Amino acid sequence: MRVCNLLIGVMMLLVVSCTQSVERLPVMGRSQLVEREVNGKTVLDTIPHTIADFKFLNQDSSWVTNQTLEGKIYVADFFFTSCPSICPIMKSQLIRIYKEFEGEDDLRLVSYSIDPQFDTVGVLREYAQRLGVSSDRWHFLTGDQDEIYELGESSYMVTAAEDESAPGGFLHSGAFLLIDKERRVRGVYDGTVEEQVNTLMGDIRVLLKEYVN
Amino acid sequence: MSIKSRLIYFSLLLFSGTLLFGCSSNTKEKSDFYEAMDHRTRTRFRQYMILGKGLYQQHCANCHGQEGEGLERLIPPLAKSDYLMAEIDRAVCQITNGMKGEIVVNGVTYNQEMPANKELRALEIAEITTYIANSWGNQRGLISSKNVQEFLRNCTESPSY
Ligand code: HEC
Repeated sequence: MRVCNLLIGVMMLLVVSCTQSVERLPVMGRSQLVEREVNGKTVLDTIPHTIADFKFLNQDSSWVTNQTLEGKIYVADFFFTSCPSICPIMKSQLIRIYKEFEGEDDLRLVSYSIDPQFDTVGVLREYAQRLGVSSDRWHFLTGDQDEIYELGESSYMVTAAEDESAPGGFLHSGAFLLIDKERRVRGVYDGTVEEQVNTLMGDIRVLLKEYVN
Repeated sequence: MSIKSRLIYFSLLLFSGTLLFGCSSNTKEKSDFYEAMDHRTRTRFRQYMILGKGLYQQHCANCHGQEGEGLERLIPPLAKSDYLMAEIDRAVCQITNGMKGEIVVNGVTYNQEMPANKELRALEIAEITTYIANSWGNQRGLISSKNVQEFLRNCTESPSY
């Protein structure tokens, strides 16, 4: 009897998790409640968490903003070119994504440098060339360090785990973030773990389907 | 034979096939120099390879990859690297002291800094070097900690070689 209950439980779990994965990706981050006047009455509106406005230079010395990414979903990460630890792994995983979605015009990759003083446009250009990737699909961004940190921590950080609250902690945690066309965060993955990146690639397909027709 | 026992028989066959295959490719890697080693050196070689693998994964694999494949034109491969195999003593100096400047590996130019590993002891450097010089198609034999100490005494001063 016990075993039977357990089995049923497991099966329910399976069913639930399966249906969830084909359904829709979650919208992450804390949404805001704002008051609004409608016909003299105050109503409460929920505004979902979105990526704030930004303006940084890419490896071609072109400005990249939310408008540049309009109509695209993208994967964002934070790195620096001289990073001795996890960045090469992150980049090899991003290259996997880059190659897997070769013909997918609705997907971009966006890598913010957290060491912009060293990572000038020239350094980023050389880096991108050595990785063999094109700025049509993959932006490497540099700019004011404080602005990059601010954007990272206020816009992209949606899972504030304890150990990530240290300065640069989240930004240097190896996270990949999946952003939709409405600038909302739809997934967070560990970019140093191959299986998580496999999940991300599946989620990219799920998200792209939301925009079909 | 029932279908069931046939299935078992078949999977056993398959299984032993993989075993055989795995073994034969193993012996192929441990070629002439391995045959020539005495029993003690063989044991030592095997131990270096196992410990070297652990150290490699801890200190090097992030950049050079699990299979020594490198990363595009940014980080050079160690697997079948003509540059590495040409001068193992130079590699020992570079692994210990770090390196920067242009180098050519298998016809591709690389130019990115590699950090030093000053905290590693000669024995650990020897284990790592033995591991990379005898994996992924490379074959060099044992590089002992005594070899490493000697190589390190003769490193050129400049951080790029
Ligand atoms: C931060 C990334 C990084 C780490 C960690 C790293 N390397 Fe390197 N390695 C490089 C780069 C980059 C070069 C090329 C240097 C140049 O362009 O001058 C290189 C070059 C080499 C070379 C010579 C070129 C070749 O491919 O034969 C060897 C040998 C080597 N590394 C071994 C190691 C070993 C062993 C470790 C671990 C103890 C290690 N490296 C850790 C980045 C790294």
